[in-house]
Amino acid sequence: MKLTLLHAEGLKLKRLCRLIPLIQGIILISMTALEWYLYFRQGPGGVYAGFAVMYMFLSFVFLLGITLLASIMAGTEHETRAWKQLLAMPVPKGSIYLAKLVWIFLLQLCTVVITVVGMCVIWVLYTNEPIPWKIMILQPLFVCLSSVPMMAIQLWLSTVFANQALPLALGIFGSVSSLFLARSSSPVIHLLPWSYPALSSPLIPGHMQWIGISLGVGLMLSILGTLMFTRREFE
Amino acid sequence: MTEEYAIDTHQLTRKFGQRETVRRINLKVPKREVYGFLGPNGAGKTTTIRMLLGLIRASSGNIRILGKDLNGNRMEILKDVGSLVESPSYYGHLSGYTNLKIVTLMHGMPESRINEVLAWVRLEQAAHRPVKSYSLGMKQRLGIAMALITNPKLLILDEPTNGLDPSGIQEIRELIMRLPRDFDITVLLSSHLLSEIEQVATYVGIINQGELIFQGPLQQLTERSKPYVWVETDRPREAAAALNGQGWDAEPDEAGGQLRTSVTYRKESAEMIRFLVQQHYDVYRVTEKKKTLEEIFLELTGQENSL
Ligand SMILES: Nc1ncnc2c1ncn2[C@@H]1O[C@H](COP(=O)(O)OP(=O)(O)OP(=O)(O)O)[C@@H](O)[C@H]1O
Ligand SMILES: [Mg+2]
Repeated sequence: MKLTLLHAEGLKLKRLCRLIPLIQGIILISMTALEWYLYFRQGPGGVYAGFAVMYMFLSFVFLLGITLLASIMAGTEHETRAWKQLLAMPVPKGSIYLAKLVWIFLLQLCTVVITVVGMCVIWVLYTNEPIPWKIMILQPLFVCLSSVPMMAIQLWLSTVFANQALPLALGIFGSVSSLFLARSSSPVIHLLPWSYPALSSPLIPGHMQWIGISLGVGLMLSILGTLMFTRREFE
Repeated sequence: MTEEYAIDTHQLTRKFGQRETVRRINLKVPKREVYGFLGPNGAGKTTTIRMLLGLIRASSGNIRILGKDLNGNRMEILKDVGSLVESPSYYGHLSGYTNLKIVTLMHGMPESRINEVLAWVRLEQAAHRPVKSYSLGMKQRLGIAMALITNPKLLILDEPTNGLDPSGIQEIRELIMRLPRDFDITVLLSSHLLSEIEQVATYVGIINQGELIFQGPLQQLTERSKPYVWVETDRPREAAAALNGQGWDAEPDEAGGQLRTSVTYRKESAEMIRFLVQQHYDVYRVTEKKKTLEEIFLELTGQENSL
């Protein structure tokens, strides 16, 4: 895929899309800090309990962000029926779809970076303990990686339906249920892509397996979505 | 080999369910002409154009554009095609300039032409305002700019003057007429109004209920609009035969109680009428009628009664 295509897709991003990583970061950091300060400060985990607190918000915040991004980005094309103009350009239809997917991923990486930086700042201000880099970076990064299947699913839904009510409803439902699905004792429910982000934290045993599964399923769903997109007829 | 047609379709058909919306059409758009693609609402113009751009698949038949088969050469062809299908598509939150920039990026072209093209469609003033604040006419002109910016060899415009006021229509018309001459561009221009087309097009295709019922130079259509003199008389058939005997062109219209002749020169008309009177035919009325292009269009599309 050419960089110019990514550049073009980037120009189209609405301001809200660019703000979403920042908003996600702020929500994550402030909720974690607040919750920890109010309830876990005195606990046995000390400052390290903060990562367990963050875990409770991570999958929700990422999946919700992805849902909104996919919906806004596809909505930008639906709004003025721009697909017909876009797909009459000398660029393979599949690349156009993938460029959007790549942008969702890049924006979520931004969320990871913002979250890590913000957490580090708070850490340094609050405590003299050395920063536990591994969990600090890997926890949000793994959530981002394991959300790839949901990026593929949400983008596909949002491009198929001009009315964003259904994709949004499904995405929000998935974001809310992620943590519960992961806590379920049924291994079948764990196989649902919504539970991957909550299963991929370094705090959870066997998380590497879930990251592998996420990337595999994510790749498969992305290819599938791209193929279906190229075969679609646009009004 | 140089092809003479910019667009050449063979038995192009598209079905939606059981209905054939476009039926076996052989569209031949000669290079460097402005081809008016004419048809009433729902005739299948937009469906045809969508197929030409590969936005929807043909059910059968094939399409050659600029000498290449659309099947397998879509990317290459689209590099040389600019299009505006139905309502203009734009990103409302971005400026006109950025909208054009996105097109140039996707075509891998330099940004340098943007200002020039904005000037062509008189949008320099509004270039850096969000497009959602544009008037309908300005959006339409931006759509045309987006189609033109990539230096296309073929320009496909579906009802480009929709929503424009008379001066806007005139402006777009002048722009379109310049294209073949100044830039070597072939234009396919669709419309449901003949009056839109007759002033710009050099070639015309008329589609009705999915079928191409006329295709040829505009003159061929105008020739059908030559005037006739109608003579109301008591015995049209005998009168016409008598006139034919004298070497005059005449055709009876028994039901209408009249005959039709292509003889319209005043002196000859006078002579003809004198002859009829002398032969004791009652001449009630003599009128000259000229079919307008509009009437021919309506006649061709079989709609003259429904309007
Ligand atoms: N996706 C579709 N599914 C079913 N029928 C369709 C579809 N698209 C178009 N049609 C039908 O095909 C016919 C031709 O439509 P088309 O849009 O090509 O007409 P048109 O000549 O462009 O008309 P107009 O002047 O109104 O733009 C219409 O009867 C329309 O209902
Ligand atoms: Mg149409």
